Amino acid sequence: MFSYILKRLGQTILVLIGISLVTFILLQVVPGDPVQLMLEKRADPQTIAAVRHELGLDLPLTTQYFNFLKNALHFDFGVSYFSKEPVTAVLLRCFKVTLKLTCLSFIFAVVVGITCGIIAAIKRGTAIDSALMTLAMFGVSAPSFWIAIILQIIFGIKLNILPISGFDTPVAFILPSIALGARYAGDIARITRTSMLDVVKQDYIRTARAKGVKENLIIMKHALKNAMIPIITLVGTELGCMLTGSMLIERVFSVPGIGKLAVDAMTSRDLPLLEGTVVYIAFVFVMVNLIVDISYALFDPRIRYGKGNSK
Amino acid sequence: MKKNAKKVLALLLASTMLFAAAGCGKTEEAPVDGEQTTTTSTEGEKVFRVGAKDPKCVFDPNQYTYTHVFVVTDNVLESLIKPLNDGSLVPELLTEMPTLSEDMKTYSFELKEGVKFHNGEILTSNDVKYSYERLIKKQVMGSILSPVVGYQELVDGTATELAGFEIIDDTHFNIHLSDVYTPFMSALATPYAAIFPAKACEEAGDTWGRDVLIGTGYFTFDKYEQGVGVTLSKFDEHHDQVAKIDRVEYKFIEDDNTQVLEYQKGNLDYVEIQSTMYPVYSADPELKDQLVPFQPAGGFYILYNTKEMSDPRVREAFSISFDRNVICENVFHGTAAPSKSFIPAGLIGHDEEAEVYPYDPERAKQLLTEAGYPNGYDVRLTLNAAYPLDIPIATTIQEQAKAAGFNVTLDQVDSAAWGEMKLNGGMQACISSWYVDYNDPDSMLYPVSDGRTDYVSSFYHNDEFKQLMIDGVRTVDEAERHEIYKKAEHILTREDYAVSPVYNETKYSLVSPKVQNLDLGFTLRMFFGQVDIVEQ
Repeated sequence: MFSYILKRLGQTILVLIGISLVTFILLQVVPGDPVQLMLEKRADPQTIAAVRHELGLDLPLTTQYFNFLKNALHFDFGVSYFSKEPVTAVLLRCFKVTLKLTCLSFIFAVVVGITCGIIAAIKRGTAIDSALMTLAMFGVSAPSFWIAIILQIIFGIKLNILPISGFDTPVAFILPSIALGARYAGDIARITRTSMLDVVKQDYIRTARAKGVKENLIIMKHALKNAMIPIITLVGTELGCMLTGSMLIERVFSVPGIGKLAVDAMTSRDLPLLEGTVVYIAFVFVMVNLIVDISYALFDPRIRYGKGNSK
Repeated sequence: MKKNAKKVLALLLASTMLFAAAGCGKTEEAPVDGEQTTTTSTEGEKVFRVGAKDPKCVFDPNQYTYTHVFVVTDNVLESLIKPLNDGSLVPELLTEMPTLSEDMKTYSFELKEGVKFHNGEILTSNDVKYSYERLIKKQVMGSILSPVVGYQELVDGTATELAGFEIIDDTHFNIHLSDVYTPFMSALATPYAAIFPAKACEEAGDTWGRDVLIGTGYFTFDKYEQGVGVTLSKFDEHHDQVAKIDRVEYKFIEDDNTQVLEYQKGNLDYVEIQSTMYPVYSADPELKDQLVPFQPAGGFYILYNTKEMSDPRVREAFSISFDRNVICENVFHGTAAPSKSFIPAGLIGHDEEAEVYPYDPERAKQLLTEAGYPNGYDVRLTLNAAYPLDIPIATTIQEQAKAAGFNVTLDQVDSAAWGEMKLNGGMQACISSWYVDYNDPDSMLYPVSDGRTDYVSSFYHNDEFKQLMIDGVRTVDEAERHEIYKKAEHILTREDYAVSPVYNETKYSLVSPKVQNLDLGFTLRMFFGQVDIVEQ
């Protein structure tokens, strides 16, 4: 297992280098000059050249990239062109906000999703099943920004019981967490139901019932645990998505997280900030996938990593 | 393994919940439920809460020229001269307006005695010199001081000081110009020409405008939290009079709808609204009386790349191939008026007799035929994604211009790409906008084709126009200047059709009835020194 983790971490470094290189190349190809954006008015060629020199943008591309890579190895992604703040400090600040939002959205999505999925599977074919799956479909298909606005109007304006923007109090996170988590909760409910339905048909479940094991115990101990592998895969991917931010939700609720940061960095062509954000997002995805892969072994003893490999 | 798995899972879950709980810990004193915050705090403080957009940059007007920056800096920093809402100029940090020498090239200034910066330092001539040199060295808007002797040397790095700035003593100084430059006073009234304390600004380095911002304005710069907001506090030692309100709180909310919801909830006292929402809010019995209009000096226009659309007849044909009234009614619901001229009303050179461009597809077709395009003409209209309203405008133009023989294709790109394409000739025509920096036609016309430079994107060049622009800034007599700029604009928009004015927008804001004395300036500047909050 240890060697497997080491190998995956090695791969992670290669992935990060690859992604940073692709990002760097793409940014050279797409139109949009940060210097022209900075200067905006009266941007004459002489001034543009002077500022490009100041920012090191007149260096050969290979030199620029290797400078970036060299500094990135020390977790130094440079300074934002516009806010003049170290990129790592900006990333850390936004990450803290995103982490708070992610934790709450994740808990909401997992608790609601798995609960609804289990109930729907147990009550298969009933009105409860239909209602829950309709709700899940609604969560999946309704645009998150629309859910956000509806929540703002109902809970923020009509009932006036929750804040509609900001993130300075614990309750301020409730609406964004629900708006962000709704789609994931729907996904998890659907996969949980499907997975549970597969498992409950198995012989060992029938055997447990025949032995008189209580239904709650059968569902929670025998069925759910064996149905967890696909759920974990989905939950892991979704956790990665949440951790890399949700621009729409962050924008609607004025939450300065990673998603908004990434979009702002892109629109302003703030190259150091954009490179740092992309590397962060890639890192999160790779690490979450690694954790998911490792967790398989925890849920299914038949899965082993390392020499001789699996089953 | 089973037991281990359970332990690991339990630990993971507990950690997650702990993270969430810890992460959501109350960080500041703030309302813990959905209740609205109040304009006046329990201590009786008067707080003006402004819905704003995060400029995502430092609040340094020498470096960033965004309106979102000035809405803050205009209340912290001051320039030597201040523009009033009627366009007139008054001395701010000066005892009186500067006197001008006979050759009209030297301005003599006298600073008010004992003007204090927020850090307690006293304003001196040296601070003014430092601020102007910094403005030039930062390059972005330094060119407003280009008429000053020694400007180019400072830009080139062959000099370390601005030679044309002559310090006489702590409160007296002269500025020598290389030539007569009539809009100079207006240029000094811009936010770019704000005065900083030399020592503090130098010490702050890159943190200037982020962690530190010191001026002589009505409010001190207390806190800037990126993505969150800015807080200003009343400066008790202001040289003129102390502000009536204790604090200004700018709350950064990117989403326009959320801004209005916060306003409706009573958490904001001022928000700007989108024109498209005007019919909704003006029909709302609670909000309609709180809508405050203001008309900034500037407008939207079609800018042509005159290298690609080189025949003025084609540009003229395009100018009359769409109906501006339809755009103003359907897209702006009456909150915009068709432009009659490029120089807006209120500025020298505005042509009162000019008429709205006619919608005349037959004449347009005839012009295209005369230009050698009897079978029509392809136009690629590039839109800036930062302006969503450009889409309905452009689609209206696209549809209407068909009748004249124009086949219009629309490209939408983000701001960064748009700026580069515009400057480098990557677009054929685009919808662009401009609002004046200062109350002078020079400020309106230089982006289109500057008499002193040709760095603009339309690649427009006309020797007569260029000479008029040069004459305009060198002429002192207002009546003469009026004729010069009127003629220059006529050449630009009615002879060469380098730009086609489309509409002038009236902007609307929601202002709480508690807020008094809030004047919204035509140069998009907002000064809160006189604002008061009166509980209803």
